[in-house]
Amino acid sequence: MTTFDFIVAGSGATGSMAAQTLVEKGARVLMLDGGRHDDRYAALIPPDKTFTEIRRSDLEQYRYFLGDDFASAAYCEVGTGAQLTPPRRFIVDCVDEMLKTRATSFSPCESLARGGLASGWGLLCGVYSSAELGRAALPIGEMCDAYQTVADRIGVSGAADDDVRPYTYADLQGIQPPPKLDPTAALIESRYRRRRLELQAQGFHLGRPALALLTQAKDGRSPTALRDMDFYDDAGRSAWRPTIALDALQRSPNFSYTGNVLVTRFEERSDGVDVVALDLLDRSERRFSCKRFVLCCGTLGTARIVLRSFPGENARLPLLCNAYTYVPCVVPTRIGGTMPERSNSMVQLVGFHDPDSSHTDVAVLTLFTYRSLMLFRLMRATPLGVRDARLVLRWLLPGLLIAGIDHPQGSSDGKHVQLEPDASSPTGDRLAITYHLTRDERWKHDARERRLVGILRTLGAWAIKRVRPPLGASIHYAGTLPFCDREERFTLATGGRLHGTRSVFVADGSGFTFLPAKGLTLSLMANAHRVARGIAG
Amino acid sequence: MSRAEASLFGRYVLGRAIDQRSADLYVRAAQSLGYSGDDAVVRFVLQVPWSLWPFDALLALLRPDALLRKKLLLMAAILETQPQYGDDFLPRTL
Repeated sequence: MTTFDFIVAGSGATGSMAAQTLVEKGARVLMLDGGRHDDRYAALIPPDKTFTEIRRSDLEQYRYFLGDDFASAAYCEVGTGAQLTPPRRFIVDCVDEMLKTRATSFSPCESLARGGLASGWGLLCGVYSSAELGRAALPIGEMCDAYQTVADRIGVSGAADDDVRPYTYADLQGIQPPPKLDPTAALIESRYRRRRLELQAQGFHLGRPALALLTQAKDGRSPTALRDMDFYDDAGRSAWRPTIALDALQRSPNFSYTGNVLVTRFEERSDGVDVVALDLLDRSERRFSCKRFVLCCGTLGTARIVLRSFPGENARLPLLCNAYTYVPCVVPTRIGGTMPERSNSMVQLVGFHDPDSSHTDVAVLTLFTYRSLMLFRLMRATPLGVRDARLVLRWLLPGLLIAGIDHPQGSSDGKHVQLEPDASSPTGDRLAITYHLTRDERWKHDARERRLVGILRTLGAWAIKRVRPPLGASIHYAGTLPFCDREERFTLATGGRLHGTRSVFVADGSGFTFLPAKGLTLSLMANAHRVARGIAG
Repeated sequence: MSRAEASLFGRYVLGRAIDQRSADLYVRAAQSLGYSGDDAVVRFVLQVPWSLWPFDALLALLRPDALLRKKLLLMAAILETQPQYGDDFLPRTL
């Protein structure tokens, strides 16, 4: 059996970033991964046509808009992963079968895909402030360097001169200009500018988001063509996805990739680590050997592996997740207007509610215009007959804004995960997730959302209702193996080493002791790079 | 379930007759999603087509997950993804 310098488990945002850092340092790396991918829809989508051109011309569009099984047209309530279109469904392929979960009040999303959950990432970037890094137990200096490295690798666009820069990309260099703003978002931004001082006094700041979306060519990738097909394809590779890093890594002789495996546990030896995995095709057990093992399976996946590797302890691990609420709004002056042919489907504007300007307890408001997820999804949630809903929504659409509100989350009672036996599971177990917001948290979230809805009204966007999808729908998870200065079981050293082991490291969000509401992925990648850089030498 | 159902629902959603391909696609999709059966409300509106609008409006408020609504929403999704009906669902573009 070949012994690699490192085995990296997981190919998502953290796995790809950690592997890239290790390979750049000259290490021999094997990546183990579920490896699910789309082999059906991507080739069907015309790469050079905009959303509206496709809608008016392509006879086969129903296949990638609804799915070959028409699953996207099925009636359902809004839940976790509601934005996963048929070409993105591979992200959750096999998950129900292979990653069994028991959760009554929490709806998790995990992935066995090549590229992981970041294959459908909303591209929103946010640099944690020093105060947030401190609360998350992340080393400030190392993270600042790591943020810059990651931004250089992935390419970030954003505005250089607006109020939210301290919350979005702060002091990062090499940031590209932001993409063009939609008319409805531009109207909201102009109203914000007129009432800026008044709103800032309330702790609210609005501006252009930092996005992992190119507006200028970089490393063989194209600037966004503003086709408004961001929920369906990655044409031109303008949006950063982990597959971009993986494709480059697979050209390196120091890098090996094994897909169709699910890492289940590890066994530490005196001179390294044996990694045990389940073959997803024939369900046989496979073993791999390395000097050091790096876990990047996402907070929940890593928790499963670590808990299995220390059987008999029946440990209960803490869990953090950003609570999320979305608020459909109408901008009356835009109703019945026109929408631009060229646009992007990602966040148009981002607001930060930082009541005491301390950068420690910041809620995030994201504003999207709505078109490419199509009318039929809105019709389900509209208390009108289908015919009337079509007519009304078509007219309403140019004035429709979808606001998302993310709340920061610190550790508190009633939020934990535990492994329990399950004979029906291929791994023989399932993850039991208990996640309840405390009364204080619910009250605080409600008060904050009311405040933000009021601010939206000030900006001319009238909330229709507040929709709270199940907890877990933000797909922002962290904190199961918190960073700790003491050598305690089920915690991490600052450098990512799993306490109680010599050669097992965790480079995903498991160590964060606080989860800011800002987009998590950039910080996950920066932490992964930081951990990998620390162990590469 | 018949093509007659597809034609009725298509005409209702769009306000005009739909083509055969869309009707066939609806039949296929309904079978795939398990919507091809019927219930008392669906049988009634097929017998009394003018009752479709009031039933749809009522169910949207009282029972949005009713089978009739599921079928009509499916028809809307099918029609929305047909290029010949694209402009019936798209807002005006610049």
